[in-house]
Amino acid sequence: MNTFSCERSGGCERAHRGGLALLLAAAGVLTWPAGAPAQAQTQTPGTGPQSAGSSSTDDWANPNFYATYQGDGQIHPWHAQGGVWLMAGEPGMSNVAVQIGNEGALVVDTGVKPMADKLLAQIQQLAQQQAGDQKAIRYVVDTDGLMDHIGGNAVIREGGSTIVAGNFQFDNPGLTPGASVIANQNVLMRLVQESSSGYANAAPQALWPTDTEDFDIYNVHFDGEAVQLFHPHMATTDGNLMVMFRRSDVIATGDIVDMTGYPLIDTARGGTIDGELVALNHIIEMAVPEDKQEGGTMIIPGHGRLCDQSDVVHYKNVITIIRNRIQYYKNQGKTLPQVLALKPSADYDDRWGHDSGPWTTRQFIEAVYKTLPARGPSFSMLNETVVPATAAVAGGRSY
Amino acid sequence: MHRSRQPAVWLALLCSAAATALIPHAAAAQSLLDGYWNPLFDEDVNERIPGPDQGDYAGLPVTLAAVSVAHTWDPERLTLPELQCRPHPSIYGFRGVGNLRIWEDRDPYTNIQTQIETWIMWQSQHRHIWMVPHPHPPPWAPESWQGFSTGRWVGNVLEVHTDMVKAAWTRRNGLPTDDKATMDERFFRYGDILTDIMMISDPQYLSEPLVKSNEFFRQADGAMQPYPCNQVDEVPRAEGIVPMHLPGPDAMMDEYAVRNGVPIQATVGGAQTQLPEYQDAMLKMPPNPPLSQIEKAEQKIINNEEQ
Repeated sequence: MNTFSCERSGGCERAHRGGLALLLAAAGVLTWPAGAPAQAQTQTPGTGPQSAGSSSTDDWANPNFYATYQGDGQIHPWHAQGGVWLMAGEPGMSNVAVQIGNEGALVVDTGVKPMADKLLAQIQQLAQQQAGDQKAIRYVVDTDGLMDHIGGNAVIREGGSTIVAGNFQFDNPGLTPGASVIANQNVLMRLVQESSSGYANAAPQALWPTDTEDFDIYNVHFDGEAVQLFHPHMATTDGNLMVMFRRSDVIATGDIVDMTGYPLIDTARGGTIDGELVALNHIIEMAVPEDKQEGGTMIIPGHGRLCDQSDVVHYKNVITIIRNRIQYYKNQGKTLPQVLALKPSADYDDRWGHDSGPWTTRQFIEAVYKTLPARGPSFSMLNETVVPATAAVAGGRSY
Repeated sequence: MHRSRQPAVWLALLCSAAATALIPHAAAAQSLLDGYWNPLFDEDVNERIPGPDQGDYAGLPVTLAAVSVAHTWDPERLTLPELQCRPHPSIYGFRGVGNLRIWEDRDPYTNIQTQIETWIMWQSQHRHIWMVPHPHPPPWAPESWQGFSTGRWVGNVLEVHTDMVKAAWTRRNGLPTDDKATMDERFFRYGDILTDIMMISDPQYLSEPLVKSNEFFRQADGAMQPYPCNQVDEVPRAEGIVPMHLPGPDAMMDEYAVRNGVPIQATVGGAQTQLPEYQDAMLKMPPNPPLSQIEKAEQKIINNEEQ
């Protein structure tokens, strides 16, 4: 049996797609009727009340913003640890984590749409190998709402099933609902907003999550272990989730950790550099290395290779250093073009930066600059650099 | 008496020849590296034991990016709990302290040498060198401090290639390597002396391979002690602090040059600083400021930070 508990700021609110989502969609239609001005049709997503102050626009006009599938069509299962597998794709594709056990499969993110059928086949094959026949996909967790993380939602959801109570089956004979797709509530709100505002690359409704919540920690017991969903506030977006498999000792972080580049801080969707750093520090706190800062808790990043706490520490240090340099320049009154000209990340760019593609070094510097205060702490005694703690991030709470 | 011994001598020679013929030819060319080895610090002792000064990168083929990272580095960072128990990576470990143990693994049926393993006492640096074909970890597999090593014998020289090492360091004063760095090594044994030559390549932080040699002396009676390590909060800090130096002129980085009479420009390093003729170029460099000026500037930095 699954047990659920919810620890959150304002009561457990479950927004089913048929309820709040449709209500919001209807509101959006009223706001942007057919025949609305052209600029309305291309309005930047994520510019609603929750992203007030954000000015990222060009990012979303770029059709290549979302990571695109670039590989040979293969999904590579790799045993992360315990009951969790990493379904690695090709360069540019987001990682998918799969937990398999006697109760079925829990899938964290579903990758890009073109790979969804192959991903489903691999998950089903893996489930059969590891847990035997009749082990269905029960849950999908979206770590954010970007298309390279939710692109396979429809296929994976429909390929799974939810165990429902008798009344539902009596009322809907022959109908088996697909897997439950869980996300933070902000993900659904933004997807609905983008769809209703006529955004050209808006995700179709079939990709939307079916179960969204506003929580800090959401606990599930599944496949013989505690599964904890953490919601870091305003990290790469305002809808991030991280998933910790406690017995397996694996954390799936989504885009908060990206072993292929600087974190994609989506300011249009509520992302901030300090929220990102708070989330990275939280991952470091949760992870326990086995010996000599190696192994132990394994961390599945949103993109790139499997890692452990030391890799996240290095990543966090690099991001913190760049953040502090930019705050230092900003404290001196330097403008964004001046900071860009100073190349505050140049010594790390060969490894982490990109000159082209969906998330460039320039975009990263812009996002950091825009989400830092005009004046803020950059260092204190003996050059120790202060990163704002959890309380400094809007909406941030202690875990 | 002398004649009576002849048949025994011939018999012994015959047995010896027969025994030699039974020894595999390839193995005869290999060196036996097994045993316990003490590191010798007659080379680069100041760098390897007390540790290099901050700002000293002379004679190293480092890039400007590497110098920038090193100038940002603050030794206080080592007090962060999550960094306290890090071992040296394989691309530095043989330059560090601690006894070295080497042993070989052989297939119990074929007696083929399958692995050579090394263990350095400090932080228990345990490395596997695959001597038979072994699948390389895929790009999505985790990296490690010791990386993935493969080896082969060329005569009596052991050649080793290593990659998949975590982002680490080539010097303990902040000179970095990233996780794309690779290392090629040559191990030679001459009697009781073992030499390891390391050639480190890093497209981001080295403009050409960094070559270093390390020597060890064989111990007749070896021992290896355990090296447990536990993190502690050595310095009370708020969450998320990363000790670092901010951009701009930093007198602390110049102190080494001024104290040792080396032009500041030369201590920044670069491939050209490895060459003998660079000494001529150093003669034309502007003189360093006096030490008193550096110390005054350092004090000013400290005072500003304490405010």
